[in-house]
This record gives sequence, C-alpha cells and structure tokens, in this order.
Amino acid sequence: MHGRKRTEYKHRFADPQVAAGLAQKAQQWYALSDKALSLRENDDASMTLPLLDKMLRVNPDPLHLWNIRRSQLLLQSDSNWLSTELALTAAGLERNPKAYGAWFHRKWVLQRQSITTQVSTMESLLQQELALTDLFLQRDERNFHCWNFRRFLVGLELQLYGGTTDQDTTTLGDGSWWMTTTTTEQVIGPQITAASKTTTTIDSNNTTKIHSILQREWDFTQGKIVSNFSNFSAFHYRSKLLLLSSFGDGNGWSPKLASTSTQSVQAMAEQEWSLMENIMFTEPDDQTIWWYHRFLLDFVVTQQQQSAADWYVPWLARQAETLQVLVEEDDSERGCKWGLLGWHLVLSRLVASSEENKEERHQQMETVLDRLIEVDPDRTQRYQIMKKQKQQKPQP
Amino acid sequence: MTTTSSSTSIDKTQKVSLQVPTTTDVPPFFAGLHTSYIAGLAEKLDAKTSYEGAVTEHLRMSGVYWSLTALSLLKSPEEVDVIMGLTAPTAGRPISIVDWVLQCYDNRSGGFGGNIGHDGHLLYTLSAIQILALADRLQDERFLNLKESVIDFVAARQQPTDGSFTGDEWGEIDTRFTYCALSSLSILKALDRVNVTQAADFILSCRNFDGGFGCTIGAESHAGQVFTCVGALSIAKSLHKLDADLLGWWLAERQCDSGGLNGRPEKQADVCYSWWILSVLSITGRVSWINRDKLATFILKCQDDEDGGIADRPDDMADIFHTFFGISGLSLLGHLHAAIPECAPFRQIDPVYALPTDVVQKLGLQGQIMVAQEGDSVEERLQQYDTLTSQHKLFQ
Ligand SMILES: [Zn+2]
Repeated sequence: MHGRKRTEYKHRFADPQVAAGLAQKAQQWYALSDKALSLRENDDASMTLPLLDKMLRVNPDPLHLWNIRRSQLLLQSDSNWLSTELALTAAGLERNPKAYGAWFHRKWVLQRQSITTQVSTMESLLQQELALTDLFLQRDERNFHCWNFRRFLVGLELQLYGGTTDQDTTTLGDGSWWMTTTTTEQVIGPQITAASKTTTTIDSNNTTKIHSILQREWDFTQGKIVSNFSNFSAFHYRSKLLLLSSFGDGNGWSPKLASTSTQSVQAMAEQEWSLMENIMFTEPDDQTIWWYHRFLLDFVVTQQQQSAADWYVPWLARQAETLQVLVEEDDSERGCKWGLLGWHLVLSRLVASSEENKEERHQQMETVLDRLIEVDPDRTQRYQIMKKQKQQKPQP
Repeated sequence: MTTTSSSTSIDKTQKVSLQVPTTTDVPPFFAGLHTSYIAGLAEKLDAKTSYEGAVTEHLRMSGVYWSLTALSLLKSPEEVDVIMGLTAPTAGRPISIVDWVLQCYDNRSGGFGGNIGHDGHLLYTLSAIQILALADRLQDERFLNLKESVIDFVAARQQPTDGSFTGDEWGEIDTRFTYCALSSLSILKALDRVNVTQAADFILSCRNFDGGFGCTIGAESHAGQVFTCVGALSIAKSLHKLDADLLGWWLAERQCDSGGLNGRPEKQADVCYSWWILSVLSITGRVSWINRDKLATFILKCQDDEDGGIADRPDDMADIFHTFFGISGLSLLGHLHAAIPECAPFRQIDPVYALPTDVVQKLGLQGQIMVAQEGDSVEERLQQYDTLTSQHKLFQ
C-alpha cells in the first residue's frame, strides 16, 4: 500500500455504509475467484474468459488469473483475440499502471502477434503501442514498467528489420557496465523468453529504418529531458542510446551500429556537455544531471583513443573552470553539494591524465572534500575514505 | 573495482552502537502494538468480508512470510509459533501455517502458489521455502516428498541462452526471479542444479552507469532491484564483480532530507527502501555511508501509534509489507538491539536471505559479504559468510 493517508483511510472504513459496500465487494471477489479456479478444470472458454475479463479489470495483479486466461486463449481455434487482450490490459493498467501481470500479458500478446503478422500490419500496430506509452509516460514520466515496455516495442520493431542479431560482446572500460557493440541488446534486453525469432538480413533499406527508429527514440528522450531536467528515466535511456550513436560533422546525433570514431566521440561529448552545463546552472541541486555527467566522463574514456588526449585534457579543464564558477557563485544554504562533487570528479580525472597544475589541483580536491564534509555531513564516512585513500595513494 | 579475498580481522565483541535519537519529536518503537497488529492480521485478512484480504489474496504466501519474519524479530521463536499458529493450529484457525503452505503446492508446475489452488511461481516458492525454514520444517516428510519437484521447478526456470530466470513457465524475465531461484536452491542445498556463473553474469549484464541494476538488461536502476541483484551475487559468491564504491555511493544518495531512503533519484522516501538499501549496504560493508540515526528516526515516524504497523511514509496507512521492511531496517541498523530493551533478547535479520540470523546459521547457508576497508570488522550477524575486502578506486 503506497500513499494512502491514514486518517482518511480509517475514517472511510469507519463509515458503516462504506464498510458494508467494501465487504460486499470482497465477497463478490471471492465468489468470482473460486469460480475461476473451478472453471479452469473444465476448459470452458465461453465462461472463463468473460469471468477473467471482469476480475482483471478490477484487479490486474494476480498472475495466476492471467495464466488461466492465456491457457484458455491458446485452446481456442479462433486466434483472433488481439484486440480484446489489448483492451483488457489497457483497462487493467488504467486501474494500476504498475501491474506486472498486465504489462507482461500485453508483451506476450504482441510478441505472438509479431510472429504471424505481416510487417506492414505490425508496423502500424507498434505505432499505436508507442502512442500508448506516450500517454502513460505523460501521466507518470518515471513509470519504469512503461519505459521497459517501450524498449520492448522498439525491440519488436528492430526485429522486423533484422536489427537484433547477436554478435560479439565487449566489456567496456572499468567493467562497470557491459555492452554488445554491434547490437541493440543492451537497449532492449530480454523481457520475455524469445518466441521463434525471425532472421532478416540487414539490407540498406532496413538500415535506414533502424536508424530512424533510433533517431526517434533519441528525440523522445530529448523531449522528456527538456520538459523536465529531473527525468532520470529519460537520461537512463539516453545513456543506452548513446552506445548506438554517432556524432559527426556537426550534424548532431545520428544513430549508427558500428564502432565510433574519435571525432564523433568528441562532437558528442561537446554537445552533451553543453546540454549539461545549462541544466547544472539552472538546477544545481537536482542530482539527475550529475549522474549523467559522471556517465559521460566514463563513456568518453572508454571510447577515446590515446591520440585524442590533446582534446580530452582541455575539455576537462574547461569543465573544471565552469564548475569552479558554479561552486563559487553559489550562496545557497545547501552549499552546492553536487557542484562540488562534479568539480571533484573532473579534477580527479584531470590529475590522472595531465601533469599540468597537478599540485594546485590536488589542493583544490582536498578543499572540495573538506567543504563536502561541511555541507553534506550525512555522508561524511564516504568523504573520509576518499580523503584517506588520497593520502595513501597519490595519483601517478 | 578489484577485490581480493583476505582474512579480515573479526572482532566478535564489536556491536553496532547507535544513539537513541535525542530529539523529542521522535516516537518510541511500539513493539507491543506491532505484535498485536501482526497477530491480528491473519484473522482480519482471512475473513471473507475483508476488502484488503480480497485484493491481496494472490500474494498471501508472501504476506505470511513478512508477518512471521517481522514477528520473529520481536518475540521468541516459541511465542511466534503460538501467536501465529505456525506449526500447530492456533485458536480459531483450522490448520497451522505449515499445513497451509503445503496445501499451496501446485502439482501442475511443481512450485508453490500465492494461495491454495494458484499457480506455482518463483516469488511464492521462495516465500514458502522461507516459511518452512522459519518453522524448522524443511525436514517435514510431506515437504521431503515434494522437494525434488520443487527443485526441478526452480532449476527449469533458468534460460540456457543467457542464464536469466523466468518467474514461471509463461516466460517473464526479471532479476527478481534470479534472486528467488538462487535463494530457494541455496536453502534446499541444490545450487548445483543451475549454472550459477551464468546466473551471475546475467545479473551483471543488467548493470547501469550508476552502478545499480534494473529488472532486465536495459532497464533503469531501482533500489529494490539492486537488493535482488546483490543478494543473488552474494549467494553466487560473485561480489568481486561489483563496483561497490559506485553502487554504495548511488545508494547513499538515496537518503533524503527527511532521513528516509528513496528508490531512485528525485523520488519520495519510502520505508520499504530501508530494507532494500540497508541490506545491500550491509552486504557490501557500507552501512556507515548514510546517516543511520536519521533513517531510524524516519522509520519510527512511519509507525501507526494507535493500531500498530508501519507505513511507507509518516501519516500513511500501515501495511504488513512496510511493517516487515521497517522492522527489518531497524534491525539492520542495530537499532532494535541497541535502543529497544524489549527487542534486545530476540533475533536479528540476515541481509542476504531475509531470515533471522540463527535460521541462516543453523542451516549453514552460504554467501559472501564485503568490508569497505582493510581492518573493518565484520558484524556478528555476517560472520558465517566469506569476506572480500574492497580495493577502492574512487578517483577513477
Ligand atoms: Zn514502499
């Protein structure tokens, strides 16, 4: 139970009329529930399906009811049940947008459909489904069930054009996250055991389609971020899409499925940093952008080649300057904790990559940690470990 | 992050000492009220006129497990047995909990359902096994007759392609199910029936840039999911694959100004994350990275001071889910033992298996934990586990 005010709730139950109404609902539920379990023995779809429809609209959570429903659907000779299932799951999700069982049932139905349906029909069906995610994400922009469902849809779309073939897996950088370089697996992931996968070879027409899907998804995250900088879910998705992206020749973001060139990493990093800089100065206390910033620094390192050090160090130095300004201009009571953390992070990357101003930067880091202990005493223990470790092992 | 196995000095006398919060507006812990809340719950929910009972009918198995485990931290095992009717029927109930659990076995699937006649699912199979472990009835002849089928059911959920687990035969994949499977098999001494390395690798493929984990590859990090992933890695003895500093930092930043913990950036604090996050901080030796007193205060403020039970937030309606997580959170903080005389003689919670520590020790359950720094002592409740010492790389 989440977010129910205690006094209101108790007050509501204390009203004899309300209590009697709820008691009646409970008895009705149990009657239906017993009936559903007894009907499953008879395999009589004409009675079971309407009964389950009634129950799952009221309560879309019980997994076993969805199971009974699927068993019955599979027994039917007429397999034309797409629209009834989409309507039922939509109604259940209206009731509870976080019902695992309802989201899964919808995925199950769509995946089965994708095996037997023509590409063009499937394309328009998936368009409608994407519109449904738009709606649910407008109501709750952080609903991770819906974000996962959207990635599932994109997976089905890409499958139409042969974009999900498995190839080599590479561990990136410090191993803190993994990716498959040439596939979209890391964006989509298995959410449901695979039905027989169609294998389409990627021709140039399909490549264009795959690119436009990824472009649309990138734009979708951009729209969500612009309307609310705090949307961590959108930044998360963006971090995955970035792995599939290419920034070249000043054309902004474009999707690609091959390894990324040094130039395009630089262009991407510059573009993402300018977005961040804006947000950092507007909402310095919102931690969302700072996590994404940390990700970008790691990402650049993993994609960067040695030859690009002449770009990397000045890029970091510019960030350090900007963050110093942000921290020093801050006069809020909270003391710009995230600005300090971001500045510290950039300084630590700088001293690891450049001998220039090393002593001064070490000094600054020390000062920043002391300041963090003042403004964020709850997490002192971590800052102490960072200080201690710094003394033990100065960076080479 | 690299880690090395080492024999860390263990200080058996060390106790987590916590200050009782001194501010006057902090309520005391209502041990008596919570006991009567939990004791009265079964009778209330079993009534066919209970609305709450009807809408949670499908997850009664987990509800019973939450009730029993929470009460086990407040009362002696003998008292819990009598109050709950665990091994013998209590007044007003026809059968004991153990009898009821065995009736929830689903012979179609080989797993346990959430209630009698419901389909077997990993979520409820783990709860059922945990209840039998609590009742010391894993050697009950009736269970021994089912045990092989239960193990078969759990082992069959692993997908040969990537090591992930489905919740049941319908194919939903989620990292929660990996934890359920590994924990169940570990308790049943049958971990060798699955590919543990592959299971751990699947978990790692769900890791994100913030060090956290989502419900599948590509899904956003969520503190609840982080518990299932780190718990699974602990059982798989694969914690060396974690970036514990990054994850620990992300989890530490879940603490809000109220002292409570949220599950994702820029979300509201909620008592259930006290468990999900503290368990992981405990497994990774980083509980001190948050402000423990402030968290204890937040949990205490979420108590219902009239009828007992703990809610998600102050002034909200209590439920058994948050009651369990609140009490377990206080136990992980050392608060129940240090600050509440009535609870001091009773059991503590184990962060890996979510069972009382003596049950875990008696069953000889295996797992792995970390200490944040060389020389850190290991909490008494974790001493049966293998220990890793972190090697920091905070500046990377
Ligand atoms: Zn909660």
